[in-house]
Amino acid sequence: MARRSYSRHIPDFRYVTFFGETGRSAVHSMNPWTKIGLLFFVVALVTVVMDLYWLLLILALAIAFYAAGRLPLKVLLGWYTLPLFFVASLSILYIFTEPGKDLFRTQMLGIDVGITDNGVMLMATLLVRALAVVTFSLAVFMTTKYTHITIVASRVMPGALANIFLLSYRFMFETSDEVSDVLDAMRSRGGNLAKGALRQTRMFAGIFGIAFVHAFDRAERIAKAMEARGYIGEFPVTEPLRKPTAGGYALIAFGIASLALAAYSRYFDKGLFGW
Amino acid sequence: MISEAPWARHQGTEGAIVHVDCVTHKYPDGTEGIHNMCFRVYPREIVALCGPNGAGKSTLIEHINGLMLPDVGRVRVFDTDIDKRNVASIRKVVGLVFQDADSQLFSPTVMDDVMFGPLNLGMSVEEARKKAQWALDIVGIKDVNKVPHYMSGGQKRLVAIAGVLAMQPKILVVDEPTGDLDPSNAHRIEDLLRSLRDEHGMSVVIALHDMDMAARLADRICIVKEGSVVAEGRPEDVLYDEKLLESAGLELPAVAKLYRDLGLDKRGKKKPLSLDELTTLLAE
Amino acid sequence: MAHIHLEDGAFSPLWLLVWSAIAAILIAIALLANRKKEISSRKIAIAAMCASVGFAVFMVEVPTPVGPVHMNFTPLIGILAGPGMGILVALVINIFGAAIGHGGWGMVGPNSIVNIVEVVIGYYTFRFFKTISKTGDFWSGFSATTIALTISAFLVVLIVSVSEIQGSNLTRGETLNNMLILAVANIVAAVVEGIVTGYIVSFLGRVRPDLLATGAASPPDKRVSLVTSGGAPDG
Repeated sequence: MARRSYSRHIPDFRYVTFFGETGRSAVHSMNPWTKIGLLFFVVALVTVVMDLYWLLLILALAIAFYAAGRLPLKVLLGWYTLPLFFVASLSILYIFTEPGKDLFRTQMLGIDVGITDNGVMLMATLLVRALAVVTFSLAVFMTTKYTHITIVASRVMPGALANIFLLSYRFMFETSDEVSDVLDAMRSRGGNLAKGALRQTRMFAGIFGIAFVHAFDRAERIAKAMEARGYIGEFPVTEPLRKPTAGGYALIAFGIASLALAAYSRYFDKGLFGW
Repeated sequence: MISEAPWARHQGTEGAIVHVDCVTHKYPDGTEGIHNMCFRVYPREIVALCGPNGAGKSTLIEHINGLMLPDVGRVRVFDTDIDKRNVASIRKVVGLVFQDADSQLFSPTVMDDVMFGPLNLGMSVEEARKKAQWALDIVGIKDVNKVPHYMSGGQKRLVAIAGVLAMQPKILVVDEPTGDLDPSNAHRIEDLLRSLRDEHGMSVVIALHDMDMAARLADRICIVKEGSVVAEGRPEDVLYDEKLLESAGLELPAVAKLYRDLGLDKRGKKKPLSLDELTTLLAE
Repeated sequence: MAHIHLEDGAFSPLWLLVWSAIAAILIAIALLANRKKEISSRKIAIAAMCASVGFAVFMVEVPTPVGPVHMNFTPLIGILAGPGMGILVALVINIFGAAIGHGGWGMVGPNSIVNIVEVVIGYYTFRFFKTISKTGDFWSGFSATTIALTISAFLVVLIVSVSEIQGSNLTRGETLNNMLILAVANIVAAVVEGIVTGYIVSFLGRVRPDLLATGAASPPDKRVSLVTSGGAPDG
């Protein structure tokens, strides 16, 4: 289990990996390539589908997939904070500026301000799309072993990029632990009660600076170890990853069909589903 | 007999498989890492480099593996001077295990990590896997699919050693082999290093400041101070020389202190190198 | 660090493909440029650790009067890792971010374009202030970060105005007006991150001056590094 997580609002990779390594469910048993493929289709579907009701269905399926992985739903709600904030911080303006029927209108500081139905619908649509992908993405990472993620990354990414990704993912845990340790040390000495913005800024700058210095020190040690063992430009990831099963291929085929149908409905036959 | 000259006149360089020949190395900021360093490694021995932090032990061992090249002097491994062109082949015969085990485990699983070296040597995946399994069997690690992050400190150290052993070096250099380990894991590492010398015919160089471990393990001790070897000899000679150790910023090992405090030195008793040997001595 | 602040589905499929293609071209250029030079194990390790720590510190909540904020330090990563590797680091950080819901998977492309601009401008602006203008560490770091993030804030305005939000009936001009309001907020955030980065850079300048852009290019010591990208060692 991750020793600590220092944000309730951002999924901690240590926590995510813990579920991937120790969880047992039908979703955990699914082939990683199948899950990555389905993730691609979820992203593509929320990009193509315009109708809020279909998007709600996609979100519901994503949540069902997450729940089928026996993953904690309460924690998921906290993790929705960031995507909700991102969408709201931008689309809040659209609530007021999107043309449509007024739901509410008032005068503020001499300016006519109103919320329209289309503005609210737009914001809702953006939110539902975001949450569907976030939910599915977290479900994929929390039900896939760390090794399998690295195998997929090494097969999909080009050379130097794959090496950077693999190494950074490998040492994410140690780096996060180090930052956690420094923050705990700060808090144990009343650091989070620092008075004054400037003092607070200097304190966190010191913490972040130390984190970068330690990262570079670690990079030096890693580089030496790589060279000492004759590094020639690749990190071997040799565990075999089997291809999807027939069921996996069926799911992928379903994804392709859904996407094709959604694209056809959007671009060629808007009345296809009778909405 | 202790030689206090920078080189051991009584042994010479004949038969040495590693010869660090009066090497000086300066860092870019001008500080000297090692100065006029002379050091040798012989077949089938465990030689301990003892010195305080900053004495130059790590700088020396990085020269043996070719990670650093000398500014003055030369380093010979199996009668070949190390230079830029042959470092790759040197690293096939000189394996280096660093102090920080975490920073040496950069692959997703234990097996992948231990296969890293053999694959870099050009072996096929199957060959590399066999070598890796052999090395993991030697160090006693069974769970080869484990993610390194979830291993204990001792396990990480053993896997780091396996990662180098899998390349089948003739010389193994280990920096602080048991630095932050609990006693049980520390003893496991000690036994492993002994078996590498006895059963696998390797030479082992250990850099450490734990004089008790040096006493138990080493065939030969070299005291490193301010970038040079200031003394070398048998453990029973070097590790009982309080003045020498003090001048090098080191302490007498516990067994030597007890030997002195119990007055056994005055009775001309053979100097023990471990508490077990001391106990046997007292029982006689 | 500026982000598009939009999740998946905000851009139409066409614009998503366009921005992703542009990002792919920029990243391909970075990969090719790195292939031509020797990619030492040191550079790979530095890039990887920058990605790790960049993401780790992003997860730290910095308390402010308006609530907790998170910072990414992309210009700082440009200063420390250089533009070539910094581009790849920015992409890796975006991939990690997408995995946990910080920016959509489809937004990795547009977000990477913005971060690439931050990395490159951050690096070159810092070098200008340090080596040509001879400004101190704090002001060099502050200026480089603030300038890079301000430019990227306007780039975000451009990208979103050109792409428009799908499902919105606003004209491009009206979208631009909305985005300009957001740009103001991003510029305020840029100044805040500039101050923090300035302090970090002055800290690094005292503790590890070799890490800053003017020194980071030179390899430490006389370490023999045989690694080329995909090549076999000599001997």
